[in-house]
Amino acid sequence: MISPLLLFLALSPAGRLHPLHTTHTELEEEAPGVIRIQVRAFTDDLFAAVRAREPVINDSGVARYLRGAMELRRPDGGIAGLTWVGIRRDGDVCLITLGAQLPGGLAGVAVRQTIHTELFSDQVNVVQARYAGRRVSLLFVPGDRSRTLP
Amino acid sequence: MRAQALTGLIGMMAGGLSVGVAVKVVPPLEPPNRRTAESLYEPPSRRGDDIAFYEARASRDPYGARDRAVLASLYLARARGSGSDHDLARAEELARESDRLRSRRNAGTAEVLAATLMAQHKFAEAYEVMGKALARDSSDLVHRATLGEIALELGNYHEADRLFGSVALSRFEPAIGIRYARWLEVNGRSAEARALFETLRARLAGGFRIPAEQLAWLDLRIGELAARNGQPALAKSAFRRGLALLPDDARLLGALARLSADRGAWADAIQLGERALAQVLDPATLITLWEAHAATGNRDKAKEYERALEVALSGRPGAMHRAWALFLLDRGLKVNKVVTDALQELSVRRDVYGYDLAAWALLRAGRFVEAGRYADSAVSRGTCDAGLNYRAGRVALGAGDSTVARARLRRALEINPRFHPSLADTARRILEQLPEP
Repeated sequence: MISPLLLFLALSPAGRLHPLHTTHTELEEEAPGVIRIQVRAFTDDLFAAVRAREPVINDSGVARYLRGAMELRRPDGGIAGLTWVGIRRDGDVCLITLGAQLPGGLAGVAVRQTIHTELFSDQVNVVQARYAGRRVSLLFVPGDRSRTLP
Repeated sequence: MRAQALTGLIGMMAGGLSVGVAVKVVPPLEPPNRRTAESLYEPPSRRGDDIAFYEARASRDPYGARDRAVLASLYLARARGSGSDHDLARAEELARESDRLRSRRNAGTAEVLAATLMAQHKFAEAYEVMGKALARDSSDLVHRATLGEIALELGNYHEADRLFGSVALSRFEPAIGIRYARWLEVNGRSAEARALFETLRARLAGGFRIPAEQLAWLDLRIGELAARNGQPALAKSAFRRGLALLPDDARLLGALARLSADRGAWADAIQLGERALAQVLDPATLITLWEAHAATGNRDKAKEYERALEVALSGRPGAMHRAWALFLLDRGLKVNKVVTDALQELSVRRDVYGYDLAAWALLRAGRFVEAGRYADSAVSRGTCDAGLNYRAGRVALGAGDSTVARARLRRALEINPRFHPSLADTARRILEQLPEP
């Protein structure tokens, strides 16, 4: 039997869930012009999305999928290449790290993030950029194009 | 989503595989690799290890009821951290399997199954599960308290009164006390509820290997009660105490953002709300951020949040999100849809907040007489919630009963003079304009 004390949180009245289809992407300027991108996505959703496009799920397939779903466009119109750094799975969540070179930093960069919007009509993707001592949030829903960081 | 581990709780639930304090998992950068196959993506966290361990055991033993119950609680806890639909569904499936395999001496399974159902707002099913469990062992006080909690959610208040009356002497047991406090709160005894939470917290804090998650959850509840009852300093202190334990807890950050918004401290609300958003996408936080951006004149940003809310909640069948419904009504949007949904929900769940929403929706739809009846039910338990009393007062005003309207609006301001950045002032203005009897 499971101790009642240990059911404390599992049954807590304030613990109702409203599960949502979402991903979270963090953009951070680690060094001048060097951007670290970390994407958190539900593993099942990510694998389903990759499986729909790739014969096998591996780093290359995930990277190709993300490059198709994400874009960082510089103010001069050029698109930054997204380089693969790594992936790890933390429970039901995958954490994927990418890198990009943006010599002018994140200000003025147009961001597009459409991960899983082809799977779910209620997908909401949160992108948070941290630069110049501030945090800027952008929300993407299906049909959205790019948004520009101030 | 957040990658926050309830490792202490889960570890202990899982038979001691993990120990200690809940920690936020900070994923390190990993070197690139080119290996192929899904086996590459092994979960590194202890919770993931625990789940893998019990999944393996369950697959080896098709009759292992206890393993399935523990596994269900692990999935449920992980779903709480990440908001994963898949984990929640798996938790329910496993709990049902466990219950099917062994209906006797398997009491914890009923609790877990009921919890998974409640997490999905399937209150009627949860009620049935716990009703059967209590019928099997009527001496189990946790069963009684849990059934009482579900009865509260369903609005079966007489039954809840009876069940909680029978466990009153055991209210200092944490698993009973947290539910008992909820009953006190609904019945307008918020100060007692908060005192009980404080007592439970003090007792747990002195215990051995108590997960930080549990203490932080109590801080959240203490803060919420204080905030709702016009004690922002106390609320802030409780939220801060919880954040000292779990600095990135989205619920605490979201609650603190809400508290800031209610005081009109919009910059703080945005900063805290965005920190919460970095951990988990929660509709309540999106509403706070919408309000903050709208109040500071950032229309584009407010529109972005509004659209995200609409999209996020559009795909959720079944129970509506009540805060979102109130948000829509306050803006005069989708009134008829909310009326229909609210009345439909009342057919299975007749709690005070369901009546409150139905009354407010009917008022917005111009159906004053019906709205009045529902508003009477919404305040019938004397719940110390300023918003509830404010809306009931406005409904009475709409129905032309200025005496009742005055009493309810005054009550709202007594409970919390600053219950909302603009509605508290609206209540004052209405009271000034109402003729004295």
